[in-house]
Amino acid sequence: MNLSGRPLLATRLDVPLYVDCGIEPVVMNAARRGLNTLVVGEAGSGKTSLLHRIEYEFRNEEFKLAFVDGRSCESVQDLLEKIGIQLGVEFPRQETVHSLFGLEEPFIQKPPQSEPPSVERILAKLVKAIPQGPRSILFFDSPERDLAHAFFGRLRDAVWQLPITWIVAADSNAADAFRRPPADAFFEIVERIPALDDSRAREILRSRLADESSAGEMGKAATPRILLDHARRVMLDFGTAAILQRMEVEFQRRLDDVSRAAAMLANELRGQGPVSASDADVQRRLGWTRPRLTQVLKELESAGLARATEASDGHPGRPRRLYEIVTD
Amino acid sequence: MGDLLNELQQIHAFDPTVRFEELGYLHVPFDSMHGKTTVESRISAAMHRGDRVALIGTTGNGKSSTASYVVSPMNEALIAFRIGVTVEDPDLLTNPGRFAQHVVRRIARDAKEVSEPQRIQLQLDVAETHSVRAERSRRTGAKINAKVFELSGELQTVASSVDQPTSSHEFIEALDHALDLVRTTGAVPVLVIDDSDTWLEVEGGELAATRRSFFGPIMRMLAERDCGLLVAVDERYLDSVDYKPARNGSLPDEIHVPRLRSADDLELLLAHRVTQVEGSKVADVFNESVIVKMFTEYERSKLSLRQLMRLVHSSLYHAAESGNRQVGPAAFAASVREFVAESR
Repeated sequence: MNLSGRPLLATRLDVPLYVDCGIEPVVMNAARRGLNTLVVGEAGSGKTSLLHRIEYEFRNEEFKLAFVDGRSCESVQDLLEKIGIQLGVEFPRQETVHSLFGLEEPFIQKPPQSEPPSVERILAKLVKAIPQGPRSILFFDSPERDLAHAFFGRLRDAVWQLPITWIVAADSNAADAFRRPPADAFFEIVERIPALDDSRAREILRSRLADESSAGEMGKAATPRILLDHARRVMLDFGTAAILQRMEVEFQRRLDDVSRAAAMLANELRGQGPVSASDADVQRRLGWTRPRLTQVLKELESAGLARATEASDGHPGRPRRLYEIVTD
Repeated sequence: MGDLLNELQQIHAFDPTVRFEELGYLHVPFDSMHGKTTVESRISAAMHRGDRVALIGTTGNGKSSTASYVVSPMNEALIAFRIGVTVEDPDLLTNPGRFAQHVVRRIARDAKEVSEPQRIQLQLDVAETHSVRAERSRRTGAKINAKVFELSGELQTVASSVDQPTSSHEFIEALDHALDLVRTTGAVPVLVIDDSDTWLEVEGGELAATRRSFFGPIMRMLAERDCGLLVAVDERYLDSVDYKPARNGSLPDEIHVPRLRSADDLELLLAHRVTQVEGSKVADVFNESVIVKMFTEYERSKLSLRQLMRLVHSSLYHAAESGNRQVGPAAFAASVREFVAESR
């Protein structure tokens, strides 16, 4: 039994757990023909898993593959650096310094603020540096809206020059950044991950549960992540499907009692694991400042809609306060 | 024959500074030395079962060599990853989740280190004698069991999934994923930690807290994973309060690295090192009485094996200097005098 809600990776252990949502053949065929594809989906709908599933499939074909997590890219330079490393390009490196914290990876000293000409210069160099040979397919997972717009919009024509076929996942919340011209023309194919229907939900549970008989009683869920969250609770005897349905109603009712901003945030963060107020991604998605985000997270906490924990994020010093939406 | 002395000296046959993987090739198993199955065989059996072992010994007496021998890349049934704890980031050693992330990265990195010649040789791997395989492993620069190579790409994927700061739980889940992947080869994954003596001399302060947390929560996290766990532990830790949680819980199985028991033991050891120069025998290098003298000194001064081997190394120099073809008592005595003078 494996009811983890984490994204499935491109490994032989995770592939059997993946259940097709129907758009996979379209995306794969587009990539094989060299067309850039955008995959749009809600939080928890399985965008990352879908990219990894295709990555796994393409390992047996004549492509050079690279996977870049958009959420870990802080700037266009940072993104280009990651693409270079992934594709094994001897890239015009800035001075590298070893992390003070003892990790192996050197990090790049970022040049002061992004200057468009310099980014374009790097892009031009990258175009020349990517080796000939098998075609490169780049999986780019859920970049933030600003980065997406800068990269596929403002820099579109230069990015187009890269000998790369793109498969990009976009969170529904950030999808408008890809639709605004000039970014809209970059993607030849746009596919949306369909809503989770009953038969796929059952299939997902069957692949996860040793005992299939309980698969029918998990109730409805909007995304695979919420489905698995419910399944975990049922299996851990935290409730039956009926109780979970009642909890859902109660959750929605409690949302009525908080401010509109708080309700919006709760829906946004639901099912995506703990976040902190300093999470730049969340700030950007909502267009809020950090103090504003802190204030609304606190409101959710005092309304019992969020639970707070402390976690160290790998740096010395004060641990971050992490908030997670609770639905029970 | 003076050439042989020079050659042994030049290749540091007795006093090598080698990579962890190479230590195993130079190791003479205590089990074969003593005709028992209490050290290497016991550790090996535990690792094959996916159990945990604390390998106890004092500094320089062969903990790392023993560990390296047991988990050598030519052992088809084990895939060992050496996890260093000598790291600069203190959070890595106080936070089980971060340590799990560290282990995942090491596993992914090591999987890439299967060399091309090793991969080719893997195809040819059939039943061969231990020494033939050992020699070949060494020649091909084997660092890790080559079976793991086909998983390299998948292990990179798992490692990249923990690049973002996430919860401890997710780091540990990724570690389980990596270990399960290694198991798909049919071999047992083994984590080896042989540098925990880094905090030995530490008294109080932040580093003492690191030591406490390493032998406490971190060791517990590792003990709960489905893999073999081999930790070299300095004898002096055994009475420490900080080590107690490991002793009582995570690492209950303690195997002691023995000392040499006789001049015969020492002769076996020297003989093995001498064969690094092809065709040479122990009697070509040492006269009979000197080995007894060496053993007596080892006992009398409670030398560590490493100290004894350094003395042997400098004896080569003294013997050659006096124009001798063999190391005799005089050359060894000169080395001891030097050693005593230095330690003053």
